[in-house]
Amino acid sequence: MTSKKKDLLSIAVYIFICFTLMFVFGPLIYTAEEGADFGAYQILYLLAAFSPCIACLVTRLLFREGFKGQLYPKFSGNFKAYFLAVVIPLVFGILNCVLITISTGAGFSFKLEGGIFTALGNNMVMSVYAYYAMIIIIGEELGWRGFLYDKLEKSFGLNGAVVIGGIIWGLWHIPPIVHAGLNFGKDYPGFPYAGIVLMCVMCIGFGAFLQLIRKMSGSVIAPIIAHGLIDSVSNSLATMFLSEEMILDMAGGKKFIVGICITVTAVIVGIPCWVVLNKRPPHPSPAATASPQGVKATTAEPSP
Amino acid sequence: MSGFILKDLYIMRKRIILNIVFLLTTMILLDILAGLLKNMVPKEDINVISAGLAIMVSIGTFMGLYSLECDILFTDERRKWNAYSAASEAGVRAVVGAKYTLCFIISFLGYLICRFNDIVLSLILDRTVQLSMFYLGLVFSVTLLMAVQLSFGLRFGAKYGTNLRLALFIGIFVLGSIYAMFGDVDWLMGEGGVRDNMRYLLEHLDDAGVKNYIAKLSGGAAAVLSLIPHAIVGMYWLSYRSSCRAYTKGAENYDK
Repeated sequence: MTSKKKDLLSIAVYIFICFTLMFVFGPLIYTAEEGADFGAYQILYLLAAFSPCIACLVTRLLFREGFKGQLYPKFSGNFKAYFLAVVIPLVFGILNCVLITISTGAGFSFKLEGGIFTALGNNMVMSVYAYYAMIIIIGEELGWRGFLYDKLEKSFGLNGAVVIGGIIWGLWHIPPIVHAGLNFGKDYPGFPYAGIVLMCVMCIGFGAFLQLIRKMSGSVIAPIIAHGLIDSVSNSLATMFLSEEMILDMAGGKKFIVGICITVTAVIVGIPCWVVLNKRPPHPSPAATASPQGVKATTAEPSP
Repeated sequence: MSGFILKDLYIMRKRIILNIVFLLTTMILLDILAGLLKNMVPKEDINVISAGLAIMVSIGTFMGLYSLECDILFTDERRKWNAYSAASEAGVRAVVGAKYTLCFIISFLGYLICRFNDIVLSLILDRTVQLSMFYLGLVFSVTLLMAVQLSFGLRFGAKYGTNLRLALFIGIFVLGSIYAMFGDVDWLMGEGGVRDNMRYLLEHLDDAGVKNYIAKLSGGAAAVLSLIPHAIVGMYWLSYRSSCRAYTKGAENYDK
């Protein structure tokens, strides 16, 4: 079997395992009532959330690719990548805040009881929650950035990897979009198809940013940090100027507007990252250079 | 660096296996106990029992793993090794970095063991048991202790470092006791003080309870409280940097 065929087969196996786990276990947890309390909830949730990681591990074992260089932090000499992994999610959160505040007509003043201190306190609390989010995000990043994007890049080129990877990543979110109204709620025209399309666009934007810092650092730790911050601090920054009633309203009927704002911001942040990603000299990532049994290839393969 | 980590793991393999076997056995016994208690106690008390068992397992786990982390200092305390590793291509940073990374990996392993116990307890009791925020607190506590232990151990030798740490803790305890006897303890024991807050936290240790507790705090208090984990991460980094500088000097205090 040629190298390209093998890569395509490994991508297919990865997607099959990943989507099977998510589409089997996802609906079970997302259709459960809020605050559901049953014994198997946690294990089902972890199986769904860690499905990219499980798929990556199984595929690597099946194709004897080894795991070298996946979770090794590589801090030395990569300060820029880790700096961006922290700063860009904050920029994303602030941009989101501006868009949401303008689109809801809230006005730029702190409306929470306690004013600026409460808003600051909320953001600080979410920065601690980021540590917890990062642990869950390991399950996603090890699969998406640590496996899929590298494989796609080898088969479809850099731009192909960002677009196709983003679409696959977006489609993986279908169960929470359909059953739990993830990011866009359930009350919008074209539910759930519009939400799925917007999610794919959002994932293309985020995918470009996360793949950029993955390549800059040569490790999936940087995307894990960035993704964890996006899921925690960015969300709390986005609602900084809103009153509690408005935040509750955002969780309900107006969620679609918030979802669109997040998508637009993801594209705004993603495009420059994509441009930079294209300008970067080709730097083989560990997964791209790993030959069978995890031994690094010594010679580059000729392009077809 | 991974080579140095593997070396430490290899030297400590027997202790690691023994520790993990002991922890898993204790965990299984406590989970069996949970299964027995499930049918014996009223339904409203199950919450307290599940949290109590999870706390027992987590504290036991982190105490066991903390002692394991302390042993990392003793694995290669020889002057010749110190000089050899410092002169190697990897350098002092890799040698010291390996110790700090391994300590973090062991703490993270503790978190995973506790979360695994949560899943087993949830399945046995048929209700969600999730104390991940509490476990994260334990991870940060151990990280703080190791930041002190490693920097002292690498600068003054493991034995001297351990004694110094002990003296530091005894000193803090004695000073604290003196303050508790003669100082103003209203902020600690008074109404709405630290004691009340601790009691509330102990009764609501699940993730939702911790979030509600933080939400109840004023903005300033929440911000200050939230700074602690970041400060610990910063301290761990500073401890690593200072240890890198002190590593070769520390060899002067080794016995062999």
